Amino acid sequence: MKLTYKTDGPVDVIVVEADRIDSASAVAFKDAFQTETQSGQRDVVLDLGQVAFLDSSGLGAVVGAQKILGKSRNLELANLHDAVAKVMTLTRMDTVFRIHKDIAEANASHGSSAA
Amino acid sequence: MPEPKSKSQFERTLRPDPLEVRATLVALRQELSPSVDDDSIDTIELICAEILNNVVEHAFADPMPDDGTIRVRTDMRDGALTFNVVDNGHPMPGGEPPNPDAPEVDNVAQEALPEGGFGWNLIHHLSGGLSYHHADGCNHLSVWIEV
Repeated sequence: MKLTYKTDGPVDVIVVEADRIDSASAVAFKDAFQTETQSGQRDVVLDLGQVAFLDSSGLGAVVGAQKILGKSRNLELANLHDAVAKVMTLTRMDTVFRIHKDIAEANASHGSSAA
Repeated sequence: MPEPKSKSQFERTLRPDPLEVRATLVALRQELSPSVDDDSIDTIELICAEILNNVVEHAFADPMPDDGTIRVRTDMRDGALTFNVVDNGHPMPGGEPPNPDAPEVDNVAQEALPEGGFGWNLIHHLSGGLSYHHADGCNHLSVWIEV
């Protein structure tokens, strides 16, 4: 699964370049997430703007991604489609992950890097 | 004379494989999209995904039955969609669908956060009811979803 890692803003961002995180792609997502983020040190915002569908396997993979980051780095979510937000609410994972409306809000909450 | 098929009727046969599950869900979504609202389609897709994922993972767990086949059929009637799944995999343990409590997420240490166990809870929570029986070597599961 293609992920794009952006480190030039006030918080690191991983853009998921796929329209689904499901049972067919959950393992590939976790593997790619580990590869992309292993050199970083900061919190990571997962940009789910392209992800229109997430099932419980995909949710498990997102939880796994937080565990990959470890205790010193938080995983936060942004740009959730309605269907994805619904899964987060129903499973109460919206109480575990900080959820931002979009990347601008995520950047602002981490203090925009004043040039 | 046969009754006319409802516009939203959908039938598909698939092998127990996650990519075939995905293709089935995408096709079901396309079939429903002209006549059913997006919010309801999201719910239907999630329930059907969780059911089919469970079939693939559990009914066709080792030892894998030969010629694993899953047949899916939907019927839309009286404001509800019935999703029928027949598979020739292993029967459900205990003879009925599990109905577990939702995994605990409050005050759970990060390393202990649940990465699974959400599927049946979502199915029970989002659906209007389900029925299951095992007959003629097949699992027969039907879930009723209000639209």
